Amino acid sequence: MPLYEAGYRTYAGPRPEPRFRFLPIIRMELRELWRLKRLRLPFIAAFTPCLVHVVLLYISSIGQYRYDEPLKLPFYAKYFTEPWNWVCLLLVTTAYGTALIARDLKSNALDLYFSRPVTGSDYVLGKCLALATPLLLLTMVPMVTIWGAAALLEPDWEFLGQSWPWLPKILGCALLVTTVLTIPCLAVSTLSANAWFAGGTWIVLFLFSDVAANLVREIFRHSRYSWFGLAHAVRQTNAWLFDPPRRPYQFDPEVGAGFLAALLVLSLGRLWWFKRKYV
Amino acid sequence: MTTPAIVLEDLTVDFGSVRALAGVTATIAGGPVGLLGRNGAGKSTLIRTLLGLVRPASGRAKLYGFDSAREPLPIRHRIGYMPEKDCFVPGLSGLRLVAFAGELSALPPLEALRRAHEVLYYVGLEEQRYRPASTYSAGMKQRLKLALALVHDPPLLFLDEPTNGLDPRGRREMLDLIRDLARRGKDLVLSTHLLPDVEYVCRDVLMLDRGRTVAQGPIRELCGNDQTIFQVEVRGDRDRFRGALAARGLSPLPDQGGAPARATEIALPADGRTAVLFQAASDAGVQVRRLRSRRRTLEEAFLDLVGAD
Repeated sequence: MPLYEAGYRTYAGPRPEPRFRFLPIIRMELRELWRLKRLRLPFIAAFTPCLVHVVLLYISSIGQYRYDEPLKLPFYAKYFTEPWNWVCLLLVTTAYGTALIARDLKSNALDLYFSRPVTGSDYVLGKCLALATPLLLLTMVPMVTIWGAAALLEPDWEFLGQSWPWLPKILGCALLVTTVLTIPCLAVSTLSANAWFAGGTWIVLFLFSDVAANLVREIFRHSRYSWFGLAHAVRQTNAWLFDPPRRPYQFDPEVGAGFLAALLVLSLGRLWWFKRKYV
Repeated sequence: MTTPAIVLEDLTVDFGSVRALAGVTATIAGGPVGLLGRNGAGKSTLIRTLLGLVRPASGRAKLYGFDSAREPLPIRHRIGYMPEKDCFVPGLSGLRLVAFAGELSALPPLEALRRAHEVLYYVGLEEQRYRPASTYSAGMKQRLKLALALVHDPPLLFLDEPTNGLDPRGRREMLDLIRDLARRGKDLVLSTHLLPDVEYVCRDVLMLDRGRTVAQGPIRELCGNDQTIFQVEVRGDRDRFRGALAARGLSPLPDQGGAPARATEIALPADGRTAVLFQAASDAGVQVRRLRSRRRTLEEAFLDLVGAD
């Protein structure tokens, strides 16, 4: 039987005017992320420190051992720039984020998007949010969990009463880390149709900035010149949010924030150029 | 009066110093239309301009009354585009890919999934729909691209080389699908180098050459189907026979390599009588050994209009 005899049916269902045309892109990417086996380990690894802290808090609450790090504000200011957490974020952004646009460039998928009612802004925003969502999950959930566990496991409600103003700061910190990783990562993803190349470039930039910043700090015995290290800049910018006790060798938070702002402007410029070129 | 599907008004597109389209003007009422032209004639540029992906330097392109430069989104709701190159999201199965395309075209997620099943069945991929699209054969990829173009049931389809890489059977099945869609009232623009495909599917053609319109209209008119071509093989002096034809006001067609070596091709009105050929043979003293009639093909019309070089 010729195929066409199976019959073509016209579509008579609803065609709502979409309010957010980027939503299908986020949905599809997150569905694919869920299926990526290579990302399960970094995700588990990223949640492990949170689990360890919660277990230590629990042991502390029932025994003689006293663990009170999560009861202090500086703990939250530097949580994400601790090497373990920072490397986990690097792995997730490299394995998932840098491929988001590079993969579409290689497989010519932009024709699929832009022959449909999707604008360049929708596309870029959809990809940004598809990366930001898991990063927010990785940043916000562990910090809020640790803070919540610390509050619940304390014998009285005094800690909760004192520390509830930390919550917006914790959320702000998670948003900051997510933003400074998402936008530059996507900008790197537009550099090449080869996802491996984009991933390698991201790792080199990431590591180079931090390794070089640490070297400079060791040489000068001062972090004044380490502002170009991403982790250093994030840590110092968090100082704005958390306002922990300043150490004499640290550089000003304004310098770190300025570096991050410049990085974001540069990355947004690259994404804007990409949008103009392909759409 | 219904709005024409496509209106092109003095459309000019430049890529830097290269002029890809130079003042193309045409009106396509609807139905199946072939878009013909040599490599670099501007076919793909025209399609991308109609999609709103390329901004014209001057002139206008309208689809169903919407300006392609100013209102690309309403246009993209109404068209299905089957590009020449593969354009798949790696890792997605055929079903997920088509459903995703439906969602991008503003179908609700569940409706998009239901519709994806339907169109994959229609194009003949019902057995392979759960396989990753990247593992499909060339023929299956072409069918998948057609399903992607059809998922939101657009009234107008742009099909760019839909039979590329298909074996003869696959090609015929693809053309049958396209013809079926045209029969069901879809407007479609078929861009291809394979002129028999256009003759099989389309009623009208738009021919481009070096970014300009060289012809537009029904295939019947372009092929001069008010005339019949006769191939006459004679025994005797062929040149004397051609001279006798010329004396009767009939000029033989230039040899394009399609006719047998000894044959002379001549066009007569479709309702004309062949007696004049025998009279010319008699005048030249030659014997007619073979007389065959045929219609002028689109390929011949195309070569006449854009040149064989």
